[in-house]
Amino acid sequence: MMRGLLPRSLLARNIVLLVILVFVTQACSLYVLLHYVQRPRVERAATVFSHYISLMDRALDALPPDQARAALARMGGQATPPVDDAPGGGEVHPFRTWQRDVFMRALHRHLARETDVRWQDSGDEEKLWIQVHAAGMPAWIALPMTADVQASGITAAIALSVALAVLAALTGYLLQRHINRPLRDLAQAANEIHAGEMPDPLPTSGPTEIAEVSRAFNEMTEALQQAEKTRALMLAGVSHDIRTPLTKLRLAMAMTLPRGTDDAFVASVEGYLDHIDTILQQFMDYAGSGEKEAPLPGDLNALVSQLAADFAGLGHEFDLDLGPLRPVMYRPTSMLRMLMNLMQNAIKYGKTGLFVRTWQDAQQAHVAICDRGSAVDVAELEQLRAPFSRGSNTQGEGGTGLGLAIVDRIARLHGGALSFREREGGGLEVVVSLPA
Amino acid sequence: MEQAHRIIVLDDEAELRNMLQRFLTGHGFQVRAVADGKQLNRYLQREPYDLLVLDLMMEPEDGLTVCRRLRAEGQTMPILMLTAKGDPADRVVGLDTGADDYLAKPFLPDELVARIRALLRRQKIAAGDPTVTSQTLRFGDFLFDVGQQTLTRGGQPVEVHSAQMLLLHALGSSPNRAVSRENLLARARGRDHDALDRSIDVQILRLRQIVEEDPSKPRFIKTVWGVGYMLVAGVNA
Repeated sequence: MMRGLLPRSLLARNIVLLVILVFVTQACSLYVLLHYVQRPRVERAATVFSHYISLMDRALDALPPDQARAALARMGGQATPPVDDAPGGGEVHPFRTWQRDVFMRALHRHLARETDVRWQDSGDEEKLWIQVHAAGMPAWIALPMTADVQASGITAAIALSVALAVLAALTGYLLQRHINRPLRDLAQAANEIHAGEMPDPLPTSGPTEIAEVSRAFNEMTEALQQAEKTRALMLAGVSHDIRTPLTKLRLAMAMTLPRGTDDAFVASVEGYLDHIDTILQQFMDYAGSGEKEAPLPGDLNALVSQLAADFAGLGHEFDLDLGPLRPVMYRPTSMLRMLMNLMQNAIKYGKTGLFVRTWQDAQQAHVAICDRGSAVDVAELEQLRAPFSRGSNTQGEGGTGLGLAIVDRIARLHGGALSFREREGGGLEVVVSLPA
Repeated sequence: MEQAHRIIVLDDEAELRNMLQRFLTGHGFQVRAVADGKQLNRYLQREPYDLLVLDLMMEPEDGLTVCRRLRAEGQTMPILMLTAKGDPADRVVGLDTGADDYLAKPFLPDELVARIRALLRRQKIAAGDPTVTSQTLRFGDFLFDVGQQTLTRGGQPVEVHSAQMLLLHALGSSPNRAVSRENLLARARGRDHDALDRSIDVQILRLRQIVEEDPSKPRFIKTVWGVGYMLVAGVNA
């Protein structure tokens, strides 16, 4: 319940909680102040006051009638009770009313039954009327209430509360700033890891709790890096270990077969050896052999037309529509491999309508590799990004299932993205978007 | 008869070392195989060699270190580096440290011989040797005479269109090396050519249709992706 009411952002939550805390604290303090400090004071004052009234009452009562009348006249007394004004005129002062009520109740308790007191509130002036007996006759004396007694503490209390609430909000904001920055850094570092990069270690000089999270994150990054290194080392080792016997196999064949032998058998064996080598190369690519390469500013259009020419030499014609592009930072071999893989896929699975288009917008350069024949649906392609997964149209063909995983990896390594779209008029459009 | 070229092979793996020795000896070289840098030093001090075949990944002293050390000592003989790493970054490092050429395992044995011959040939030309003449290239059952510009298959002449012969000659002039598309275009079209010109690639495809069994999986006229083309062939000096 509580969670649903609270705002989502940590900053707003902290501020709301702090402000609530301030108000609760204020309310409790006010209660304690009123009931244990102010009320006894008022009651004590009422007790003392009632003594004076009793004394005065007795003194006036004991006077001879004419003297009593003279004294009454001097005090501005009158024989009739005061006219009761309509209650509730003017502003409402809860604190003042409460104080008055407490005072009057205490006064009534202490005074003799025949002595009466009344509070008159005529708007701009408040008076306390006391009923006394002057020489046996009842009479009323008015005591104007001073501004001091009327002064209200509640305004100050509200002002204080508001000030404290503002202070609480400010504190919340300051606290949040200390948490927000490291959290933002953490999120950014995590995103970098997602993009296949290794972020710099986070600073661990901050407050202990955050430093602890940063330290744990740094350790995780280091462990990832270590795993990455181990994997690269392992794949490089495997590749080395397999490539050496492959070399020997080729040497042995060359030495066994008479010079100039060139029949279908030799050709097919060479084909198998090439295939093994291609698979090893794919493993190496997936292990991240491209990461060592330094990104350089380059012309994607030139690269695309080179590749289109290479494919033309193999009998596959790509139509090109190359828009002007800003220079893009890329790792030449990785980028070549990525576009080559995508173009090869278009040839292999699309077969017709081969087309490459480039264009740019404010932030990115885009390369779209299109065909007319691919029957794979976009959702299935999304799954093929995962390593070692193979499409339904590749049955019976040899492959590592790493092709699109490598492409996806290279795109992310360049801070870009790979997306699949159904091409208008049929076929598939694979778009590589890179920051430019 | 010409004195056989003396080649020294450094590889820490005994079996491969012996196979390389036997293979290269079979191709008419005089081959010494050694297992580590110390042995290499001993033999190099004893007698001169024409070329070093050096493995990159070795323990305890790797090929790069050996290469760097030799060059620092003023050794000028051609060095051909062998490596199992297919990483382009390694290639740059290898060539930066003073290797003259680089071949990735698992290499084609013919390519190894061709590259060794090419390195020796260049060394001779650099030394101003006048005996260097035209060469014949062998790929599959084809023979290509670079100087005469004739292509024969099993002794029978093969008809090749002049535009394709121009390309074959360009590729055959530096066999087993990538020839850039710009280079090929400049030869075929002169200086002013369009970057989107596909004529070279169309001619390459025709050439492949002549010499390759499967033009979409070429064995001899290989694509060097993003660069150009390479003719993989055995060289008869």
